[in-house]
Amino acid sequence: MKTIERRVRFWAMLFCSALASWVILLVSCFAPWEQGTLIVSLLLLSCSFIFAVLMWKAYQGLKIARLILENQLLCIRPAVVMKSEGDARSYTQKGGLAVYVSYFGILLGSRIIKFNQDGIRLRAVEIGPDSLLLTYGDGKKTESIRLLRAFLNQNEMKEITEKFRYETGVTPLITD
Amino acid sequence: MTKFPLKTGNLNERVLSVVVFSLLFAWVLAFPFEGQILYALTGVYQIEPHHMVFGAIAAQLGGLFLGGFFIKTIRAAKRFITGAVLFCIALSAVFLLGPSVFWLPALVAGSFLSGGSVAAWGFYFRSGSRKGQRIKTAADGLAYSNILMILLNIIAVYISPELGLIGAMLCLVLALVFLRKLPEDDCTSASPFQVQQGSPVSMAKPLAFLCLFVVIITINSGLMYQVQGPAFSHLKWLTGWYWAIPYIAALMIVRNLPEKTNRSYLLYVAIAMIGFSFIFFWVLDRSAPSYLVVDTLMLGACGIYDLFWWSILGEMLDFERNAAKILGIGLSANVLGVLLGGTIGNAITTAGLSGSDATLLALAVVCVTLVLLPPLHTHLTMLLKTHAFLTVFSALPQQEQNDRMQRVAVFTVLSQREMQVSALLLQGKTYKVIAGELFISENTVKYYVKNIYSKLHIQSRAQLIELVSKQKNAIPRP
Repeated sequence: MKTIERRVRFWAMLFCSALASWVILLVSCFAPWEQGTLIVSLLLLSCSFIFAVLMWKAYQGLKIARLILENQLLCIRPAVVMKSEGDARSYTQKGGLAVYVSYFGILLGSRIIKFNQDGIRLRAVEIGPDSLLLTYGDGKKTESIRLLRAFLNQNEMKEITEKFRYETGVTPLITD
Repeated sequence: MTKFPLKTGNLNERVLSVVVFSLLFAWVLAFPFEGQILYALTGVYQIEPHHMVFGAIAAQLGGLFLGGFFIKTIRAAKRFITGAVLFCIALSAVFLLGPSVFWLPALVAGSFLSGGSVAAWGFYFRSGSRKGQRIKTAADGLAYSNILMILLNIIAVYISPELGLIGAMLCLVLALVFLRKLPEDDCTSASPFQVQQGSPVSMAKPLAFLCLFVVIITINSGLMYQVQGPAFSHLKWLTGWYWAIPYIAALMIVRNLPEKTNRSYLLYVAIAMIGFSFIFFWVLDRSAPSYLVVDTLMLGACGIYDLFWWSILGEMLDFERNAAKILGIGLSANVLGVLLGGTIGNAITTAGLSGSDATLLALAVVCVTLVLLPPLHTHLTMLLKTHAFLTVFSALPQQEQNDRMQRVAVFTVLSQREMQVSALLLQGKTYKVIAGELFISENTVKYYVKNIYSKLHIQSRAQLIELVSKQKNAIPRP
């Protein structure tokens, strides 16, 4: 999530810089412009436009990520890798990737898999003893993703099954 | 929830309210609202009437529009109408004393008060007639007031303007007499309905759209007064009485159509009539037969349209506590259209254009309004159907709403959560309210709704409603 936010800020910064540069160029060089100034101006405008598009796309991703986080059905916490240095009793967490599954898609770190949007539907859910298989696609293409997770007891399994059924309309298949 | 004391409604109150309205409105039509009495009086004293007429129409607009903001109960309505009628009698008397500086302010004040009175009458329009019958009440009120207007005009034009004015004042006195018999208590009034209270469904959008529709059509009426009217002024012996006959005839025809008739088709007939009216005005001479053709087409169309929006306003009264507001704002749109049309027509005639140029220009304005009408009408019908559905659906008990939704076959593709959101959409709730009820963010609701529409292959709430309405037994008839 933080990566996505950083991405948005990055493109926003580039966009603002390009636009600001163009404005400064506009203000500092009086008409008529020389050929060189014109080329630089066009370049800056093009860059501004490209950065604006990239910023917009990143922002759309951020919106979806927030949507997934706000409407979680399931959160798969990463295995915690702790490392101690020498005799020190303090541990630092290394690695790990939280996965959030929602009616709107899956958020894996900074990667987003959308469904129930833009014509992509969640087609099937399989809950295994140590994994979750989600199948999604539009009418033409279907993809699957298997998420490994910790063992679930009966009650937890029931709860997740009911949540999926209620929110997405898809009743998960429980496999051994 | 609702009680119907009599299957046919309360006849006495209905008749009384029609009588009061007819008498009051006859005074309005014959005198301040471009009435022949006013023209006759100003003609006798060689006074230019146009600024007075304009002032009166503008004041009438103000009275209609603002009436509902001050008159909020049936008791206040009765008292206001009583006071306004007394005042109008006194103001009319000013015109019997000869020309003076008081004529214009008296006319403006009288127009304003009469406008407010017509708005206030909305309470009796609602309480005196049951839903579905208000078109007949509106037709009766408009027809009788126009008949009285014709009589007053004949007196004013052929006998004496002062006598015509006295006749109009007598109408006001009679209105006062009958007004006393109307109930003033909300409990005792024979209202067969309990008005939706605290309904989440707002009338604002349908009313605003209806007003837009009305303004656009009535521009043609205003144009007619300024362009067609003066062209036949030499036929006063005919125009003084025939003018409103086609209007009354159209009202009676539409009023007496079988209930199952789809009156919407008549609107397109009326559009064609307006168009042909101006075409014939352009190609024919200015003889009496030509006047008969032009006036019959134009005023016949006006009768159809007037009854159309009067009846819609009448049906809307049940969805809003303050009947004066609904009726007043709706009718003010009518007056606004006349004012705009009159302004355009006045501009055309004062620009010194030749007769045929002025007519062509008027025809162009008519064509523009006629092009706008079909999409406006489609949207208006959809809005009203949506609103009627939303109000009925939201009044059902929760369990019954759920049951009805379960019966709709297309909803099987939706998940339970999506069904929940759909049900709240069908209750007319906003995204914000839905978000609050489901404890989710407004943004989430928007995405749910987008997905629901995509699954059902629709694009809007109105189409969702249409989908549900198409399912037999999905929704009760209002």
